[in-house]
Amino acid sequence: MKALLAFKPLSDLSMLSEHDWIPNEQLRLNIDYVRSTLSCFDETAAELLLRAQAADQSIRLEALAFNDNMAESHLKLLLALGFERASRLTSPVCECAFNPLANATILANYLRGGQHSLVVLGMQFGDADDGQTAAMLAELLGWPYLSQVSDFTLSPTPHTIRVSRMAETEVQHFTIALPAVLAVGNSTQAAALRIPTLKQKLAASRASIEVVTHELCDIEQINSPVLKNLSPINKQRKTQWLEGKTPQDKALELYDVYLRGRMNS
Amino acid sequence: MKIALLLDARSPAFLRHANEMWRFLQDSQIENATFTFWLFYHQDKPSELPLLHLLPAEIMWFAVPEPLQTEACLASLEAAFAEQKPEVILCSSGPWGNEMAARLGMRLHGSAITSARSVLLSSSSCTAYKAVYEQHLLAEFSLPLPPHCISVAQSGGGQSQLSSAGQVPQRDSREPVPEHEWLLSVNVDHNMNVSSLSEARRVLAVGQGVGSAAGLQRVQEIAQQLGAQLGASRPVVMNAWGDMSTLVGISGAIIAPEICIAAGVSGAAAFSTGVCHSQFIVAINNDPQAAIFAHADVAIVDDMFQVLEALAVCVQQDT
Repeated sequence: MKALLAFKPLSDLSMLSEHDWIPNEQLRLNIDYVRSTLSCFDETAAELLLRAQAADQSIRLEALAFNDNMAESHLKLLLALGFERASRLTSPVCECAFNPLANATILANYLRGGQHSLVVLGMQFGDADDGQTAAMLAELLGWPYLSQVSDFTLSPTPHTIRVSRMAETEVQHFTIALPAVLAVGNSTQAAALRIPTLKQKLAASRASIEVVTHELCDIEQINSPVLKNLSPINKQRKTQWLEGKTPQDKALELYDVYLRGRMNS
Repeated sequence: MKIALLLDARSPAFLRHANEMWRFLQDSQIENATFTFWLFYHQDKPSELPLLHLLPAEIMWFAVPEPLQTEACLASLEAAFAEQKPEVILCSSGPWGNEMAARLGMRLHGSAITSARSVLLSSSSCTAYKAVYEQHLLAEFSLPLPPHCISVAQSGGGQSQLSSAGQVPQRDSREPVPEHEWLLSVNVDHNMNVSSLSEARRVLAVGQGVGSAAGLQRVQEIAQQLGAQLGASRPVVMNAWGDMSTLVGISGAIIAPEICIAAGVSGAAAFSTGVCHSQFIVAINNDPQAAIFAHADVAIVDDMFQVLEALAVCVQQDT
């Protein structure tokens, strides 16, 4: 059975200084030089796939990274951990920012003919995605879809999978027939991706990353919301600094001046 | 213009979702709209409803089985859309609302956007505003095709007021819940660690400064003395010092308490996004350069445990 992990690395925006936050004429930030990271959901998705593979060796794992110049390090990490194949999509790049339907269309076209039974994404496919890419991909493929997935294992019955998802007040366990799209959220079972051994890293360093350059969709044909403007959100508050001599002085001033009235209102 | 407001009345967060939707409508500019409520329920309908200070033209009820399956909701909504043809379907905040907006947009051949803060709606255009780049920038999007399927951004806190809906025409959707061959079985474990952080009036949110599971236990006791719910940043949860249900931030709870005390927290964007709707923020950290101070109303540079313990004494003495 072939399973695909699709992800879009996140830029480490904490590295940006004040003047880096000004978008250019194409409404893009210059973040190409910024370090990229896997989101917590992508890490969990990859870890769950590795666990599923450990339980059932017939699963063949493939990873596809989207739109990121620095994706190779993430893909090499996944190869080191046991993914069989790793690919990087290079085109189209910038047009897909904040365009989950374009992401989903590209993925759907990539999957057609690939004979995958399971596609796993994180709940955030890049910045501000909110699980849209995974949901739209399932709609395009006509496959079952479950979001906020916290765990999954192949069930003994062929072509079926047992999936757990965290809802507001309960954990729901589904057994569903494959193929399926899963969007992974928080998981206590697999909160972080395992670390490869040095031997695994060395082996992966010699492996090649496939570059997928085909035009997988015509972005202009997609009726997605069009980005018209970007403006800063000012979240700074007028901070008052408490300067007492001891922690007790500061706590007393905090309570007397700022909290007592609020707590008793 | 017809706008359908989509909410899950079975959800424990129903009133918070309604309140977030009301705030969204307050922040939006909408020309000549007629509102309809589309509400999901299981077995019993609530006798009072959050009507958001609107006079809805109709309330349409959709009975769904437990546990809620999105596929069942979508089939009912497609039928309701075919009948009523609203130009806008406004979905509640959170993962369920986001999924509904994305999938309805596809099924109804319209446009979808999630976590919108507000909207400018006229008979000829729809512009939605959404925070992007880890909530640093506000993006303005033009939505090309109706129906515009929009989910509301989470802003936490508050519950919408209830009122009698006796004057509003109500009816039930007759669309049968479809069976899906791919769904082989479903069962449920009730989660005992249900977090009410999003509705809490006071939150003590701690970061790596707690240092250990024992440190977290110590602040848990202080939180109780302060009458606050305990929240934690992602590193605290990743270290297994705290439960996933305490997670505050972009991947956990978005909170909006009257008082938020952020102690031992660096102030990473993912965390700050989770607390930025708080009415009053106190930051305590022994690093004066910590980013959290920029988001705080009051800043204290000191040992978090000593300050919090002294604060708990003040509160205890006063009560």
